[in-house]
Amino acid sequence: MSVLAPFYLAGLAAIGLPILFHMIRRTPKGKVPFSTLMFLDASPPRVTSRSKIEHWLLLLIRAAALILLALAFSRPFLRQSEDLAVDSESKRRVILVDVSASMRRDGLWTQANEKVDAILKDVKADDSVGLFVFDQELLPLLSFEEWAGLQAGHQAAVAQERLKEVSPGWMGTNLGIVLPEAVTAALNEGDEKAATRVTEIVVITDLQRGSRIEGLQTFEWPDSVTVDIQLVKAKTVGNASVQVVGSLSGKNGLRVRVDNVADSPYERFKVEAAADALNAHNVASNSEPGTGGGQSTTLQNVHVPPEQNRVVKFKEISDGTKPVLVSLSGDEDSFDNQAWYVRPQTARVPVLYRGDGSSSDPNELRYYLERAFLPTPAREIDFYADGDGNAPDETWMTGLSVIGKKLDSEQLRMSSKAVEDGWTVIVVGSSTETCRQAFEIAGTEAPDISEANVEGYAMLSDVDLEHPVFQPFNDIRLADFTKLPIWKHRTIDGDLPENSRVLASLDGSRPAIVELSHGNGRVLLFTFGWHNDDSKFVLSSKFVPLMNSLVDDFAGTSVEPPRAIVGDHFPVHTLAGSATGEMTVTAPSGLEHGLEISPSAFAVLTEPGVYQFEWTDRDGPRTASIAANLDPLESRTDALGLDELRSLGVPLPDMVEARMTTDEKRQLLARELESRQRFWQWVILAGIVLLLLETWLAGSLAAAGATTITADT
Amino acid sequence: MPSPKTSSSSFGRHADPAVLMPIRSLELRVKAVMEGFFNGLHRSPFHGFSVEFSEYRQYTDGDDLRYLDWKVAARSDRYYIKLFEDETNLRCNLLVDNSRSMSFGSLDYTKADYAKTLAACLAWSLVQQRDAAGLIVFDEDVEDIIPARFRHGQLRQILMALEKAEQGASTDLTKPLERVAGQVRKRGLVVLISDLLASVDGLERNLGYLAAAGHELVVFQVLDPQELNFEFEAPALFQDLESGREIYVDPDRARKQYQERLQAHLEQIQKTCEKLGAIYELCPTDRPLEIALSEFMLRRQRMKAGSARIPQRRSPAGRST
Repeated sequence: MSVLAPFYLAGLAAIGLPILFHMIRRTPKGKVPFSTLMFLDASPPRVTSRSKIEHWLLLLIRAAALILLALAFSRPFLRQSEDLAVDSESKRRVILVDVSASMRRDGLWTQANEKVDAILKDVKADDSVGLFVFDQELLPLLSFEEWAGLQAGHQAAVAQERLKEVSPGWMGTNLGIVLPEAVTAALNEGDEKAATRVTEIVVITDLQRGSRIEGLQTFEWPDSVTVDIQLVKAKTVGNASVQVVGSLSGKNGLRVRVDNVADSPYERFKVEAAADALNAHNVASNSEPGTGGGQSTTLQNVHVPPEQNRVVKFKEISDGTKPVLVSLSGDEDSFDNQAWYVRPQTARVPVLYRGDGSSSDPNELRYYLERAFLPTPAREIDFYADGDGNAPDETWMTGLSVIGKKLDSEQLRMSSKAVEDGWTVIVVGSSTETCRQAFEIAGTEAPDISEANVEGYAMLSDVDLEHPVFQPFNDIRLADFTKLPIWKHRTIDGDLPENSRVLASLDGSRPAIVELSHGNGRVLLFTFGWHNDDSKFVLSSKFVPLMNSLVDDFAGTSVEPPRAIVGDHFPVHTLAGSATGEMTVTAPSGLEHGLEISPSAFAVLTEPGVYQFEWTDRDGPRTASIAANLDPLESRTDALGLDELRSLGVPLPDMVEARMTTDEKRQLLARELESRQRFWQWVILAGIVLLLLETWLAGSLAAAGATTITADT
Repeated sequence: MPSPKTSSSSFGRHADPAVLMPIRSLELRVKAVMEGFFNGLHRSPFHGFSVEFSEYRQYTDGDDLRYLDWKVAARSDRYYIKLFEDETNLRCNLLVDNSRSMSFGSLDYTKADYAKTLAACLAWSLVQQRDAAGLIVFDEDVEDIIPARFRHGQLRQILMALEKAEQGASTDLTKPLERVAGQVRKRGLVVLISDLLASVDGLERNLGYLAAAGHELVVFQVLDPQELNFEFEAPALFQDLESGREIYVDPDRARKQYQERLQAHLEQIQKTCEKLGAIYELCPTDRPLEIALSEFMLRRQRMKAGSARIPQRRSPAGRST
């Protein structure tokens, strides 16, 4: 048991008072009513001393109440060694060094190194240290185990050496992920003392506004962890950045946004867009605008006040097919003054309709199908109809087929071959026969299929919204299929083959859309007709999105070409689609490495610029480019206040506390411990109970004494 | 100066107040006192109060011939004028102090009980003599007032007013005495029954008004034996009954000073009364009422005898017809 305010214990001397008053007191204490006091003067109190104590219990209660009061004021608490660990005891330090893109600013990295050196000098012999670098991820440079394994004198040297091997990269900062990871890493240290040891996380960072601290809001900080933010300050003030917003529709133009931070002294900037940026790979160099390797450039002046942004339009860039490099000048920090843009490559997707009808008859399926496919920057549709005779024969083999009639055996064979080779065939099952043929195309035996007996109409249900084809409807506002009445359809009575997958049902039981895999391709069977007799599918709001989704899924095209942020893990199969084999990735710096194409294969984009991907698919060699740009948040270089971190619950040591001596810290910790335990409340309560008891007892004794006084008078 | 030390055992045939006061009915108490009193006295205690011959004085010029005693003139050939005590029935106003200090009593009864009984006895005897009796009960203000009349039920009304009188506040003689001076036009007897434990500064002035108006003044000062002797033993917190003030008093130390101050106070009152020609009677509450009454009678008779000579002193000497 310890006390926070020991000088209050001096109050214990007050227990002498009840004894004194008990032994020496005025006698007696009665009150005598008298007609007038006009002839009387107050007599000085007569005290008499007594040699024995009359009311032992009363005296003890009074003394105990005074002891409790003195004890309560002295604020007792139970001292626990681990709770009062202060600087003099060993601690665990996690040193986190920011290597995000904003640390590329002039002088920051040198400052960071100096701070690490200073911290390493202060490390005590029994301290446990881990050195990490972070941007949006945490990367260990020297783990706790390694530190413990190193010879005592060499630990700091090794850490410094490791730090010299790294330098700021191009990624964004994410303190919301990194700090909790660092805490976990520290607490998972194998040391037996780990659970009770004080952990100090030292973060050396520029703490720019775009550090993504929101993630810390929900993190529960362990009591033993404190975070010490050591700021490095840039010599430059203000920063402007440039980002590509998108292309101008229908033109070779570009929209570019220029952002200016709040504390920027600059307002006038120059933006330059240069085509064929692939020839200027040196992303780290600060190439002056207008010198883009002799390529055609366009220059614009823009005025952006602090904390505002402006969008600049470049209407015509000479060669619309090549990557574009946008450069900004007018501020001091150049790390975020370049942005890349890769124009989408327009793919031509052949769609072949195997069915009857003319393109001008609204009673025919063809009328709607021909109009359903909308061109996008990524692809254009070549629509062929069976009856027109303009379809090249190889269309059977190279496009998306929509089959709306019964095929002959040759057509069946060719379709089956096309699917096996990786193409997609859509079968509109307007009759039991066409439904059966879908299974034949998929190379399986058709189950029993019969005409369904529908009372009223049926509706689509259990739609597999996770399937790529139904992705456009994967939103609660769009997933309503109740306005699509189907009054005639076919029922698959037997069991579905193993290679099939039901994408949607009719009224929850009968398959409505079935995907049948065959070879590298697939067959999509709709068990209902799309028009007139069977349903109102072609007239529903679901028709056009579904058709375009089918084409995009088939051709691997999307509206906008993929644009990526540095640090992204880019899934390569989104480029290669169903292709397999080796993919070569060429980084903007020219570094090449190979990847096996699979849904789990990702290309890590580590630097800004244009990444090139090369692979081979059914059409032969393919290439694609992706522009990886800097995280826009990284450009928000104005400093974040420590108060904002504190408001998110980050246990920052108080600035006052930082200047405290060891004794002061020990006292502060004792105060915290006492405020947690709050024994004084219980002691006060006990004191009050004793005082009530004393009042009652004294009252009883006084009542007994009053009788005696009355008798005296 | 009467000795304040009294003892009920020395009063023999008189009704002991300790026995008398527990009688709840004031009327019964009065009867018990007054019957005994009359039995012992065998004559009216208020002898000489009504139309009554007092003495002769020699005739002087200007005297009303109606009062000439022709019989004496015929017998002695000298002219004498017959003087009478009073020409009308006596009008007596009893002023009874009912302040909070009167509620003190170290015996089984309070000073107020004693004072009320005394007032009732006086009223009784007045009514018996067919004189007009009135009552004013006061504390710091006049609480109750019954004008002096002689009529049927007057005694009962007075007794009831005395019985119902509740304990008042502090003592202030100014207002009741001013009231009497203002209301009672006809000369008469004013009997003040109070402990007079208040400043005597105003007493002389207020009693002086009444004396100047020709009223005959009688002052009964009712005090408790403890007030007179201050025989408390243990030190205690003494509380003033009127002001509520409390002081710590050690009786052993304070007794002497108390008695000295009380004595001075009593002497001052007595001097004031003598100066104004008022009859002053100190009534310790352990003293039988009959004694207080009879002493009062004797003193009054003596005083009346004195006052009767006053006109003689005023008459021109040797003047005769």
